[in-house]
Amino acid sequence: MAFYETLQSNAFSKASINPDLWNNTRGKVIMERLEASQEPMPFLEDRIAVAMDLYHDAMQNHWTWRPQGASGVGGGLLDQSNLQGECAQLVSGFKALLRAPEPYGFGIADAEVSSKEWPEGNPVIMFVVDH
Amino acid sequence: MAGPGRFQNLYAWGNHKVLKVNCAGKMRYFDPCYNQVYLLPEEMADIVLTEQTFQKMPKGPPVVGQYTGKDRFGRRVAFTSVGGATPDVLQQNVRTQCNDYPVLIGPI
Repeated sequence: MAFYETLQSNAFSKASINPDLWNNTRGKVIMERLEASQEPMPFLEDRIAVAMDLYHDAMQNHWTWRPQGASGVGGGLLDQSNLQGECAQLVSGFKALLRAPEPYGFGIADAEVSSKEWPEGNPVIMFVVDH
Repeated sequence: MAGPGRFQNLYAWGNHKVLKVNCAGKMRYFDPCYNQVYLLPEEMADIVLTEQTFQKMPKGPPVVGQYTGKDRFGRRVAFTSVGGATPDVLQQNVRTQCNDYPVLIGPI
């Protein structure tokens, strides 16, 4: 099993992986480009936003939106897997980057990251963004 | 809009999944599919939409075609689906295999 897939299936335990396998992963490229980025990133949310840009770029031609019948697990996208599935799969791949321990990812605790489906109940909440 | 500068958009989505992340006490919603970051009205309260109408899609179950409700001043607002624009948005972001898109909701 590849690097990020292994991490994801082992609750992101550092003890579960072989560090040598990090080479040649898309996740490593993303993290290295993040460190080299000149974007202003004073807050964690800014770092994540820039990482999402890089993740988005890295997924071009490697992930296809196909909304039926696919696994929602996406950690393999950070390795070298080309996957097809619902948006949950792409979300799962990015979540793996946020949960992976440093330097492989952001090392964010499980309790701090969750998947949410929208709209959530009633009334429908509108995203209003003016940062 | 890229990098931190993206915190400047207004979208609502039907039937869509995003990541909720606690960023040092601030909740942020990251949407890898559309490469966006969202806040919620608790922080920027403007509009709450309470009604929805559905529309049929080429495949699968109907999706929300329009949301209506009120803004923070009590004025009635309506946001309709702009499905015709969605493929362009997706082309900028992710590749699709069929025409069964999630619905992007934008101001009328």
